[in-house]
Amino acid sequence: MAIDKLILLIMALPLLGAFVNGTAGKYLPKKIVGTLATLVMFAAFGLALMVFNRLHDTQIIHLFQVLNLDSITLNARLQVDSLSIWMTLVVTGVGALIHLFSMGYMSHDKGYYKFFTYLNLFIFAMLILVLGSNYFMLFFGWEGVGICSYLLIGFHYSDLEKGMLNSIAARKAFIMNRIGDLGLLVALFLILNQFGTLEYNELADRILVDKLIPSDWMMLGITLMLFIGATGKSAQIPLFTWLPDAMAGPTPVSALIHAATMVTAGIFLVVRSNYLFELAPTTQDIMLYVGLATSLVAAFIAMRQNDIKKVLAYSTVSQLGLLFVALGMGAYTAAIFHVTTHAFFKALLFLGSGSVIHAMSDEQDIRKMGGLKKFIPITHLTFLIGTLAIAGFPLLSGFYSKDEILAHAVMHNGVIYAVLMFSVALTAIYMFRMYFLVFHGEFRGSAEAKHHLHESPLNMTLPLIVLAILSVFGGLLNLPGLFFEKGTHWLSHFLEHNTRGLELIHSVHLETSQAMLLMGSAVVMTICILIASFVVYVKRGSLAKADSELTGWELASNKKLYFDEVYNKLFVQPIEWIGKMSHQVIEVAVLNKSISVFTTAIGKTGDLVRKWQTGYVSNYLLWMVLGIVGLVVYYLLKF
Amino acid sequence: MNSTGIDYLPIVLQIGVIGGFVAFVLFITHYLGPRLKSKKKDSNWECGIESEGNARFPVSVRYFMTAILFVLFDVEVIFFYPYAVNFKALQLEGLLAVILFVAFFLIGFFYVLKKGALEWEK
Amino acid sequence: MDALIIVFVTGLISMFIAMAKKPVLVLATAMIGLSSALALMINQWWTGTGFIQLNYEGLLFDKPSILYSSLAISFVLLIIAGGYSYFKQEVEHTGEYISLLIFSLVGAMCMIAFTDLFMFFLGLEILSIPIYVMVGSKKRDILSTEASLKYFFTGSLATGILLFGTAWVYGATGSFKINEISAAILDGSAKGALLNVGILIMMAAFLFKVGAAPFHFWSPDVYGGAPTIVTGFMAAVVKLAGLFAFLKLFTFTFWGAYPLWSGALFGIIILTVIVGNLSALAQTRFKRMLAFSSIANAGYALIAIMNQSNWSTWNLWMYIYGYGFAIIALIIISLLVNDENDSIEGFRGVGRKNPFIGFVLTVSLLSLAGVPPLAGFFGKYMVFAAAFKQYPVLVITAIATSGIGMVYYLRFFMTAMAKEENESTVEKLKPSILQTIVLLICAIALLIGGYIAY
Repeated sequence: MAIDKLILLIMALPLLGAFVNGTAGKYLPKKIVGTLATLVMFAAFGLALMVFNRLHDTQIIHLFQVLNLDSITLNARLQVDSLSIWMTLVVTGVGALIHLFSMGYMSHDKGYYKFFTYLNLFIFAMLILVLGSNYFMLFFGWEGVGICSYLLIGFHYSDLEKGMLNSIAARKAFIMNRIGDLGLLVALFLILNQFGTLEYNELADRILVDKLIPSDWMMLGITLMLFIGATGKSAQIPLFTWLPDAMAGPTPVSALIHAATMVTAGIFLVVRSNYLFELAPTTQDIMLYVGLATSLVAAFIAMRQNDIKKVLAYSTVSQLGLLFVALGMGAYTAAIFHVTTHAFFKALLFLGSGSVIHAMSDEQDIRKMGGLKKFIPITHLTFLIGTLAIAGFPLLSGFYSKDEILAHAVMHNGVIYAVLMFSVALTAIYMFRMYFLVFHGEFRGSAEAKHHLHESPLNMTLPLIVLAILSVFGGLLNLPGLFFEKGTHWLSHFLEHNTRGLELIHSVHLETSQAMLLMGSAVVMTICILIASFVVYVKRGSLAKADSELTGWELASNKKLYFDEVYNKLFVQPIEWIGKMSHQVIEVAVLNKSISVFTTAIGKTGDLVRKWQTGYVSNYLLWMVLGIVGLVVYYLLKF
Repeated sequence: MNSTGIDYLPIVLQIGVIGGFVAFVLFITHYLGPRLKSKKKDSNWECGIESEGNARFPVSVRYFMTAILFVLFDVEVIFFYPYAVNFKALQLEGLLAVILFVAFFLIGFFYVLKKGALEWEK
Repeated sequence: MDALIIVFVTGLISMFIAMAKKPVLVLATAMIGLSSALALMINQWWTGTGFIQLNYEGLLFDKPSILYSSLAISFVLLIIAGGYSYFKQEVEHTGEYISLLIFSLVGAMCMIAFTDLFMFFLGLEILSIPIYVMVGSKKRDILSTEASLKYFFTGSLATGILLFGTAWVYGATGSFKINEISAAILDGSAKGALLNVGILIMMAAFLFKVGAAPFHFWSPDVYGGAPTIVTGFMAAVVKLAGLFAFLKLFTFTFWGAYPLWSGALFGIIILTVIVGNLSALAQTRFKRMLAFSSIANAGYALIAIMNQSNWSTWNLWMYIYGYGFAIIALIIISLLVNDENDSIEGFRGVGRKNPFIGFVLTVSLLSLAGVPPLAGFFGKYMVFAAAFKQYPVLVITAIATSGIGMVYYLRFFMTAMAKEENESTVEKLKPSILQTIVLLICAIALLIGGYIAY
């Protein structure tokens, strides 16, 4: 099959799964629902691999025309190049594993078929997002994943205890994303206005070949708006507070959407538009500092969180901040590399936490865990690998990808490197803290919970194992050029091969000695933290404190630096006040009154007109005759 | 023949006079003439004699049916007169048309018979 | 022409087959006959000629006539199939119901395809007389009898008026043939009071048939009193035939007198849409509400006749398409609900209890209210858009009043879809297979209306 057919099939498979499960899922047994949803994902991944093998040049697949006006033409088109196929591989691959995991994790849930419908639909939307050949398709997918994210965060909306909170979290995510979407939409309009097209290729041609570059201010505006869009979806300051709340969704959702795939859409957007950002250095700087701040703030908050998923959520925000730092420095391929490895180990960690939660009978507080090592050995081992990978332990995937970004930072600015290093160190600290608190020491939960502890079934542990392997060896994708002559920077070369704009950016590599120094310091730091954490949490057995005992920085960290409270005071309450006032004044006093007067008048007239219908046939005949007389009179008067 | 508005004046006058007369008479009758009111007089169908039984009772339609069917077929026969006069001129086409016409009537007649509309005693 | 003959013969055969007292045979005959007539129509549409070449100058099935006739045949097919469960309740009269419906359809087709006024009059009477009978077919029901009598009185007056007008027009032009009348008016050989008054009087008779104010008074009583399925027939098929004959006669034959009749029609449309919609607001009975809504809809459809566009025929067709299918669906649902007082309250909770019927009900009501992307919207849109340039006041009035129309459609919708406290009081409806199919066809027709319009 040709590539275009394969791509269409890749797109169609998740849609088919969503359609079948969405329409007939209610009547099908759970086995079939889950198997179908998972199978289409694996099939899509297999097809994506085939495309990946055959792909050489960029391919455009025209589907249909959406809109054709004099001034704009919108096409539904797909574009297959290195970047999009790479993202497709990540999405379908990680997605397939998470589907498999969900089969076990969600097995007791009433909304089983609904869950898989949403998941498949999400994958479909995500594929549109990454495979689209223009910003219009991207926007379409962007909104599609937003909707699926909303539906899945509030999946347990009917839960008796937490249903309301879940819906509020979903709503928060949706509204926050909406702010970002507005930015993206404005950017799209500006691009359309300036370049007259939304197609990536045409846009790239205008900028890179024809050099039709608008004023600096315009470029700043476009890129800034794109960046605002990216901050919404990729949870950057100031729009990041939705992501930790989004953990209200089922854990596989957190793994798939809020860690591995959807939140990286912002990164994808920036990489896709790299040539635009290269023309706006101010935006790049803004991106860099926002990313840096996000990375630090989130890492700081994660230090004293006690919900296993919240820690991971803040860690995701922190890692995304790191990615934006990379993007701000123009290290696009490094960013994609880290996106990939992050997808592996963060999905692993989330699924691992899911497995832990499953074992703990839906308990998420790490203060009630401890010593789980012996009860759930496979989960423990894979979770450890994930922790090491994210902390940047030598030779694991996170080590390489983080190191590459750090190397760029060194070349860019020493201070940034130092701050980034600090953030990375924080990451290692809170990750080890969590790991030790969960898996070592004594079990701190109730006896009943202890009785229930069990290792997850195979369909849940298998994805963990696969992801653990990927987390270990993921670094091979883009080895730094230190130890080998050949085969290094494979992913960078692959991406630069036919992604517009990337080939023009020459990444300078550090000298070997400097690189060794960097790596060495990173290794030393990680190992020191590991040992320190081990001593603190295992040898001395110190535990997380209760909320009331926290003081100083710990309290600030635990309270998430009061972001929610500040937002509440600054935005939510004034807007609610305006809403209330407009309800009282405009709605009730002005609109309702005037409309009710109007409707009463119409009703009265209706009653009046109705009386005309007397019910006497003689009256009817009289009116008919009068009607004819009227017509004749009209004739006599008018002609 | 050009007519102007003024030519219609007599007609308008006439209409006015007619309308005025009608209105006048209707109006005046309310005041002239004695007015007697009693319960019996104001009741429906008052004719001085006590009403007996219900006016709505079923009446046999047989006579009516026969009569209306007679009229129908009578009308059919009437159509033969003009045909008879033009018998030669209309040629074969005319004959076919009349046969069709009669056939429709026969079908109707057959239906009436089948339905038992002409059975006097049932 | 062949289709017309087939339809007529079908009527005859089903009348006689009914003697066997096997309703299903009548149904089968009628369905087969009408379907083959429909097939013949479609054949004539594509090939341009029918199988039988009859040289008769009174009728001509040109493309618009075929379009409208096919729609009328489809409506009758749906009505017979949907109302079958009602017809067969009285085995005595099943055949009469169905054959009367079909004879009425013959009249409708004559009214659609006429080329001279004589044939037109004949068609009108063939259409009307079976309806007088059918309206009064619930012999024990006083309302039904009353409706029949009222319709007969007013209808015969209208017939008289029509003949009177035709006589005037004949006097002015010296012909019954619409071509010759048209030519005579255009070349100026027929002018003056004789013609003009004739046209206006004929128009009055037409306005009676389509139910436009102030000739509309019969319709609420007759619609309300007639058996439900006959109401559906009147709303769908009679309106269709009447409106198309109106269109054909006025925009083609009386084209030369456009300033005369358009001015009168202008006022009548405004009166009609206002009276129809406002009166419908306060109705508590379903069929009466439908009657007033049909008055209002007649007003909107007349706008298509008002505008001087080549597309009027098509616009009107689209309008009737959307209106007819929606009405048939609603009528069949009302037949299923079978509330003895025919009150709107009787529909409470029905849509929620029966999801499929609720869906069809929703589609039909929204289509009637003119909500995109349903057929009713496209009909309205096409009619209004075509007339807007020439008659902005008219169209604005029409849109404003259809806003009022929304109120009672949606109120009915709310009632039918209301969540009933006591679920068990709402009965689960049991549509027959035929009715389910008919409802499905109606819903699909309304849903794909936009595609057809496109």
